[in-house]
Amino acid sequence: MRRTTLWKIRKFTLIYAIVVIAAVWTLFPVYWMVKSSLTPNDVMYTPKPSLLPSHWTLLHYRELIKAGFMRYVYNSLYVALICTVVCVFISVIASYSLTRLKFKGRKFVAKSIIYSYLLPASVLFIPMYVAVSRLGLNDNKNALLIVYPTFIVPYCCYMLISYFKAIPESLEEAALIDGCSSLQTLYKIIVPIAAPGIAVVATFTFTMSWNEFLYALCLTTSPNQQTVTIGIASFKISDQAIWGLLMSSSVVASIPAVMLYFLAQRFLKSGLSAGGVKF
Amino acid sequence: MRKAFSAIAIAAMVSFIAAGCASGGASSGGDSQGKPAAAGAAGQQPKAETPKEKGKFVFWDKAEYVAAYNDDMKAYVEKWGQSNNVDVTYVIVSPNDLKTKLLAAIEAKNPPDLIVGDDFLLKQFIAMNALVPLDDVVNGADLVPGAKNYTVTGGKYFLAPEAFLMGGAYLRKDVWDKHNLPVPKTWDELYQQAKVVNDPKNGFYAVGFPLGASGGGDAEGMLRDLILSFGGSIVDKDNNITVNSPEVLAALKFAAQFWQQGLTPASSTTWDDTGNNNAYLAGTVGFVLNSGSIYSAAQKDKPELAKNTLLIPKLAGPKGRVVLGSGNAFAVLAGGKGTDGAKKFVSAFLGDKPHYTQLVAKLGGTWQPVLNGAQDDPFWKDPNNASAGWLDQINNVVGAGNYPGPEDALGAKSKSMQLVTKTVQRIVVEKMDPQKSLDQLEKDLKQLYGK
Amino acid sequence: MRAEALGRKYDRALAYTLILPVAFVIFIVIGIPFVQALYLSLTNKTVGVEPAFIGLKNYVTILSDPDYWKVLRNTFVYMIACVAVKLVLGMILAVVLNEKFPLRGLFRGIFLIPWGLSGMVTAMTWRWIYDDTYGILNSLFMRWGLIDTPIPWISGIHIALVSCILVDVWRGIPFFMFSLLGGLQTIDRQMYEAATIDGAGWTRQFFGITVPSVMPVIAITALLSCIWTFNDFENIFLVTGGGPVHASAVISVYTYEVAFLQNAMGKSLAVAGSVIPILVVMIIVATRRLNTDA
Repeated sequence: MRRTTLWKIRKFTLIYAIVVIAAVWTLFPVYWMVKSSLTPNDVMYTPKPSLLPSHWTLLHYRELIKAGFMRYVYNSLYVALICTVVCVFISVIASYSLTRLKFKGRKFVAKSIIYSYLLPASVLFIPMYVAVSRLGLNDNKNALLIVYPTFIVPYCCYMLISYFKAIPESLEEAALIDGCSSLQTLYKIIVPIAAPGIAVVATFTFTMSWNEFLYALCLTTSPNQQTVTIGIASFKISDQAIWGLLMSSSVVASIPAVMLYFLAQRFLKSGLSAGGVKF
Repeated sequence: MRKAFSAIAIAAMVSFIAAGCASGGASSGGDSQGKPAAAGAAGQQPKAETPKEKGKFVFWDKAEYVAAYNDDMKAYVEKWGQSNNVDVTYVIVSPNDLKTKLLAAIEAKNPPDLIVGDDFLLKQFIAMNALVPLDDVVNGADLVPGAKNYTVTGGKYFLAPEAFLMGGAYLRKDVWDKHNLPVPKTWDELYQQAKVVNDPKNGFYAVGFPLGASGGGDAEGMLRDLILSFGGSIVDKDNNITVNSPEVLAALKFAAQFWQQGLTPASSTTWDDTGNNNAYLAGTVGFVLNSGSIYSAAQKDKPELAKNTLLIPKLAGPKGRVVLGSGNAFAVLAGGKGTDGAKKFVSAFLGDKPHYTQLVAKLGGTWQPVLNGAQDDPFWKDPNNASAGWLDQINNVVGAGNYPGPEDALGAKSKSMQLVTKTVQRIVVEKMDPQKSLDQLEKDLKQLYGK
Repeated sequence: MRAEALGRKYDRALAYTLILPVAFVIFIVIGIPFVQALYLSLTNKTVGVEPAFIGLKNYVTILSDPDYWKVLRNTFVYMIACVAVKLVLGMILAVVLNEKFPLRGLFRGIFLIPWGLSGMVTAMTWRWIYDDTYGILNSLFMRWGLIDTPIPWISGIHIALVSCILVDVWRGIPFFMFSLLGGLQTIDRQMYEAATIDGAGWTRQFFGITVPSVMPVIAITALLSCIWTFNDFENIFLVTGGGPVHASAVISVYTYEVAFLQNAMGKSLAVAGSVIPILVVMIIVATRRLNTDA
């Protein structure tokens, strides 16, 4: 009895040591970002920055609002939400088709998806840009809705295919015998079972579109079309980085995605591993 | 139930297919190279229904740290557009992204009509046949001679000067006074004094010299200035490569010792153009070479530092002082529908001296005027205006970044590739023998120039 | 029998309909630009000028360029180091978080944060932390007496790449942690009990039961992460810009540099295209492993 207690104490000490160190490592940059965003410029531009703030200011945030930063946030939300809904939807139905239905060329499509997933974005960049411009989508955030699926759809399909494969077909067979159509088995059986996986894919899709920088930089020019990443970058003007605004805009830009992750947290651990695990 | 779902699903499918076909057709249309933006034009058609003769142009202006400039320019160009029946789309583009964006836009045959940018950057677009000649605009304006010297390329004007961004040296007067040192006039004086004021133990370095090669122009500009003041040159006026000379070698060795002896922060080998701004504003370096942006930032955020700062002209070398010009310039892009409107606007802007003079003053010393007479504004006579210390440099401008070589695309390219910076980097970071590194520079230049 | 045959016929039409949007994205939206890019990599394309076909010259040029090999080596160092460190640390945290202890939910939430931040925000923040003048890191280390002179985090020829790796690790651990945590939770507790009765120690249990059980998760997570880090652009571009002297440049950054600083589009596409075979081999090896394991 005493031995187990002692063992337990040692185990808990070890656990807490690890998680506390990891938490400090994780939180420090976040703390530093938030702290810097609240630090007035005259104390910020010093070679001996203090760990704790000497005094706070909301000045950077006020300037941010005044500079119209919320427009960038709105644009990013617009692009990321539409991309997520559309890409996840088409990927779910395609993955269903690829894992459950038999048709000619299935293997070819499945392979193409995997290979297109590993294409470096830099390969497609210039031809994509030219094609999109010729569609008349210059300086238009909708252009991003055409471009982002090129890296989102292969990812979504890749993940969803492995989730769907992991669901035993016997479940659907029973449903088919009960008179369900193929489509019904998709939304009555597969989608509910794969829901955590779909939630994870959707979360990633959202952040991928939210984070993209290079296409957004080249395809949009005016602030009412540009996304947050461009908004943040605009606070580095020529040779002068305005760190107060860079950090406060980073904080603002992080809020939606971090919130989404917290909401999706309960799906994450089951969803992330589902693809690799046999049921 | 079952039918309803299938119906919805099929409806969704159909709409996707429709969307797919629509964009598919258009994108395959875009594939055939050389058909200039037929689809793009179609997309912009609806607006053109309003009165036919109304002109329009798209203006990408450079984002300035002093935001008052962009506010002023926006109001000015829009007012001009109204009275001239021209629709102006005014967009602010960060200079850091201008090249990437412009390259992409030109490739897509959809460039803006008018841009403002740094002269060395815009010169790179001349060889792409992307710019229209502005000789009539430049010759029609009342410009100081130096302004023409930094915008001319091969005897022609594809750029029209907007303002000098001359820059010069920033010196921490308080530190120099503490050591009873005079204000340096030559590179050698600076080097001797640097060894005195250097105090890295307390986080203070004598100088802050950038040596990053990931874009930006500070490092390359400084090293080329130094080479000229040592009597060397990269190319001569006929584009013969003259870089492998004892003068250039001496200049490179001289530059390298600032890093080798720890007179500049070690990290400056990766500084982009923000590096020396940051270091000077933080008070960690005593001397930097830069445009006026540091002064603007200091006035706003660190007034105490601004007061302790002396703005002095660039330094002289063993072979004297060669003043090269650089600055903002206008360029009008070929192929657009707004070319004429854009040219007219530039002429109007350069013809409006009262507006120009007050605009330069609004920039608080980061700009020096290109128009004759603007220097006589009270702004420059104010004894508290430290930035006036740089003003007289504009009267001695002999050329731009590639002097004595021609201001051609190759020169601009060799500058933007930062070949000299990389040469010093090799000496400092990789500890390569200076002569060997110089040989490599000569080889790189020969490859670039196709010799 | 008849019903099934009918069902299948219906299914075939359905199958093609369902696959259509994705096939459109893959074969048209990605496929056409990809073919164009491959063609352009065989030309002397620069912006604004019509390309001329020059065969494999771009590839010959880059393969004989020592810079290219340096950058390629960096890319592998970066990828392998990032994935290995993330895997090990992610595994440790996953094992720990799989135990029951007070405040577990709180820590789980904390560890998730970096993954929610955008790559750009992460890079900017770390750039700010590393900064040689305003950076908190050197300032703290010096205050604690760990170092005498500042560490050139982003400018040291040997340390710049390490700094980039640290940033990627910081942001990427949660992905590994949560994937592995999910895998660990599917392991049958009875296996450990049986092993304990057999007298197997902690290490033997870990390598005998835990690792083999989550192997499929490890494989898929590592593969995804390999692809992401191999193609990663923003992190390195924004933290070090690839410097000094390409010491921390990877293929994607180098591609950008060739395309936009040197304005050699054809050559830059050759740089980007030259790594595709490597990626293909990587994914073939990985999927083969995956198939035998799963």
